[in-house]
Amino acid sequence: MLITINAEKCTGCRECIESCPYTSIEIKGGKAFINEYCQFCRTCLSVCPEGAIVEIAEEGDKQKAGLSEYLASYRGVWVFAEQRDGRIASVAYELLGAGRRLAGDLKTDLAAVLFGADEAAAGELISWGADKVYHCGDPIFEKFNDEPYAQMLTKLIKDYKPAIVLAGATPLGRSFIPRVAARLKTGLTADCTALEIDKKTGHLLQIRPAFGGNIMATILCPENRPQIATVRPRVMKRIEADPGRKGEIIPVSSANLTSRTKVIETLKENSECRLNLQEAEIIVSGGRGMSNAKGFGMLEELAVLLGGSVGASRAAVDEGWIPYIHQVGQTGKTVCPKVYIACGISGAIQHLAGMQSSDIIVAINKNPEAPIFNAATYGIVGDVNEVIPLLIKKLKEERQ
Amino acid sequence: MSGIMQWQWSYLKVQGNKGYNDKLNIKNQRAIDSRQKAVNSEQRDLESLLPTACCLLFIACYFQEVAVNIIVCIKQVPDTAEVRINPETNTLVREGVPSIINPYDLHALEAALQIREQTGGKVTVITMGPPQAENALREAVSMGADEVRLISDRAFAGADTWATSYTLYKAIEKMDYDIIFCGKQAIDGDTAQVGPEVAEFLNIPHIAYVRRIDELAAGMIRVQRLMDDGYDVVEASLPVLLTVVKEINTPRFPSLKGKMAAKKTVITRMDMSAIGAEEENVGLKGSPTQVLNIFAPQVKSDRKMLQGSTEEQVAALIKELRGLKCSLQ
Repeated sequence: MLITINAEKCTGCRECIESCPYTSIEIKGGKAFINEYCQFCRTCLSVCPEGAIVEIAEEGDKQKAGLSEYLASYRGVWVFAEQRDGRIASVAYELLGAGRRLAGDLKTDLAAVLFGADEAAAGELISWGADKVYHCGDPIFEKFNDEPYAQMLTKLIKDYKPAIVLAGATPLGRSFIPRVAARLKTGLTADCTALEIDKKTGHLLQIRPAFGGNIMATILCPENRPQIATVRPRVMKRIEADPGRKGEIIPVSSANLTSRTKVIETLKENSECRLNLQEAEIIVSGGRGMSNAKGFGMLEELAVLLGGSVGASRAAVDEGWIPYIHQVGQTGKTVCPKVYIACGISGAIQHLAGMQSSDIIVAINKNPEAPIFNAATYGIVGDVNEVIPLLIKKLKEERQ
Repeated sequence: MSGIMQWQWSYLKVQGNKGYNDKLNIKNQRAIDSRQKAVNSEQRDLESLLPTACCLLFIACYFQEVAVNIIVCIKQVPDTAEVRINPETNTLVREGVPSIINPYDLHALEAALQIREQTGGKVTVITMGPPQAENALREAVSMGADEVRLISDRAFAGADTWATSYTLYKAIEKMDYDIIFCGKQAIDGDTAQVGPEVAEFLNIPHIAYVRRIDELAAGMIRVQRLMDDGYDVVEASLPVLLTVVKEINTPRFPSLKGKMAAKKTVITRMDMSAIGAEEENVGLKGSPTQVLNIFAPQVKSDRKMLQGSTEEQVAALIKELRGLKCSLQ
């Protein structure tokens, strides 16, 4: 494929230049010219008022022989169910909810893949929507090492040929799934926030944010199988668990798994509230406006009252008021809680990138002009040192 | 003993990385000689120094083994803080948006430079990109990279993470390395996939989200990686690929000397045939995924500024939150 300019139609109006995310269009001799920066994103095609930018298919782009047979040989939707210490991560249930819907659209089965944990955990996955569970209980999966996880999932995919594989966009999923995609030569889309089936072609439409959440993109994997996606935690809806659901647990044996990494120990951060921000329903987050580490003590108290976790902006982490693991934003974690309470956070675009998909955003800031208020559902203009103690007091009063 | 260690350590630092493997023995001998002379003047028996000399030689050999060659993969990206979409036309507005080195990659480079400063060895920075990505490589030299390579070919354009990883793998395959550093992810694509995919292609282990390096010894490294709710201490055999989070260090600023070196650096450019890549695996053609379309994220319109005194606002907030079905305990 090639994107080129029809020089006869081009008026040199420069409209396309601004539209190009890769600065690949320049003016040469009064006409637009596409240089080697071009990434074939097609953005410019719709911009040109003269229709002078055209997409030319090359010889090799013609339908490969046997493609439809190849695609048809892959069937079914799989969910990789992640576990830590034998406990299934909540994102797995969300993926089963999404997978159920996709499998319904494609009229196929939904299977879960579970490495480690026990049969009871595998049974859980059936009650949350799986028709089948491929379970490998090898003790090598107790701790997370990328290589055995990747080797085992690659083998299962080769043996059973699913059309779609979903995994959580968690540190674990985002670390080992790429190895699987590399080995299988297939597409992998990171951190999806929506998944649909294209009714005409049956392909998976994978929708994800890019450029720090400033744009959304729909990604397709049209000629390779399986279509693999990691999915942002807390975005997909679970279905109701039904302990009476029937399903089949298929034990699979591991063979020749090797690992050149070894987990020596697991360290937990000392904290009163849950640290896994990606699973939290409520996050109380603080920024530079908290003034000091003591301010974060107050936020933790509020978070414990609400049953939530504590987050932070980059500024607060850089000041050393709270460890990096709490940082939300482009260079920290991307979170999607039901309620995000931003305290003394101005709302730089990098911070918004990490939390703007939260259902409800509450902003507390003394500067009424702070950009956080543009993203907020509810805004309170005021000093965090007055508002938060009051909030804590009122919540405590209500409890009694 | 610790005094000797320190002395040996700084001695290696002075050696830097320029062919010290060859010079080591001669210089080491000289160093030992001069130390012996000094001790002689203290009227001590020369023979009693033999164990010390042996010890020094042993330490020298030990560190010689540990000296590591490091490759850092970087990417030139648009500063995403400036990228916007025009909601009417659904197109990106990128006018005047500067290109920068992906911020995570600066932490990767810093980690590499710090290791080199301790053990010797060479830091090579590579990037895949258009010719203009040369600027990113010059910046890397100004920070202290020894060598840089630009992997650039018209055929690489439009590569997704699979094709990008394949291309980097072909470029790295023939190079000499013990550790490969990558940033956790690039801030334009935000995929975090290229590092682990490169490791799989190279058939080496990787550890993602590294926040600290605890120990580097002959043939192994121990690091801390960030997980959902804490950290794992993980050991890996070398060679290994590590992707780093920003917590690992604070990247240095370019030095004046570095800036001068950057100006003079000749950038080695490698195209598809130079790295021995196959055309059907690179660029758009080698990419399993396609971008179907892009669009602006939905903007929430249900904004509500609470009114009244602080007390009234707080009461109103609690009321609003209770109205939602969230689990306020």
